[in-house]
Amino acid sequence: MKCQQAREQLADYSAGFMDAGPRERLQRHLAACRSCRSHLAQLRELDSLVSGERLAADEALVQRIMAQVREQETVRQLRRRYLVQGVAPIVLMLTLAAAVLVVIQPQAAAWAQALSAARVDWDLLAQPEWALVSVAGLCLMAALATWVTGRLARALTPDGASL
Amino acid sequence: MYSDMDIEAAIRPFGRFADGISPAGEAALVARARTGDHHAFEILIRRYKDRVLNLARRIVGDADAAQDVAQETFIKAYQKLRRFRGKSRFSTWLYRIAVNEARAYLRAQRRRRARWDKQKALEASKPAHVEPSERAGRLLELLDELPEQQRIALALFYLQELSVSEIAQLVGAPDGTVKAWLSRGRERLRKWARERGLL
Repeated sequence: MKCQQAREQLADYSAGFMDAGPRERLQRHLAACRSCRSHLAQLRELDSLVSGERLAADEALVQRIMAQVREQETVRQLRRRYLVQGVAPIVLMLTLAAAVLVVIQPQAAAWAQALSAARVDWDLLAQPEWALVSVAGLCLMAALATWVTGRLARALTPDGASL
Repeated sequence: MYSDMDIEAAIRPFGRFADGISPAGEAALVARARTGDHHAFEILIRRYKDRVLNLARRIVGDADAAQDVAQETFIKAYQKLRRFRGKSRFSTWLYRIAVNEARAYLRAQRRRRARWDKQKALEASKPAHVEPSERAGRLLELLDELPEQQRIALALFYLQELSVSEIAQLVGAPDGTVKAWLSRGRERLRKWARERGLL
């Protein structure tokens, strides 16, 4: 084996990448060639120096990472809570409205006929007392929806997530 | 799956984990961290922080930048932990994130700094005689001169924890290609180190 050929194989050899046959041929050459042994020693020294040069991560790095992890987790929890609190009441109200429409609409004509036959005084509904009752009813519904979704949001997010 | 020799070779450079956590214990920690257990995740950080930091340093070449890359690696790992299915070892999965973060850093760095600038700085800092304590640091600077894929393969190789197949899987190249990168890369490094009086 020539030195040129041996040197092309030394990096593979020192990393343990060679099959038995070529490895033994190279080992025979190395036993007889001081120059190639020196080349191999340089590769091993290089490996030892590079793998041996190590930094130790300090405690501050761990603390920085954990602070960022906690911050991200809090933001994620708050986002989920606000999503539930903000979107859920709207969905609940729309569902209620849809249900009311579905129930009332088919019978609306019959009810209108019955009401007109009963000669209801529609002007009564325009009076302030009736308007107050309507607004109070709506407020009650909104409060109920908010309370239900608030409970839901708290159940979905662990304690301690706050700004 | 791994022989005793493989395991011995894997733990050689860093020694055994000082935290005394078994592989099963690590799997349990990962499972707890996946459910949002911060304490479990903190233990995993302490277990891998030095390895990730050194892997990052060998790829990006700069100790301060390596700190940023390591930090970003663990943040990304936490964000993606719920998607970790345990098909590979946790360490391999974590190192893949570190390699991707280091690559992202290098891309950003290339945009910031022209290549010739770095070459010039290297030339200027070439002393006639180098103290032994500085040699390893200078060798790491030389790593930075290798093509990116060779450098990443070498950084993973010098962790001395992963087999060639695992490195190949991690960088998405065939085993033979990775072996060639490792051999050519180390041979180039040896040559450059000789030229600069580091070996």
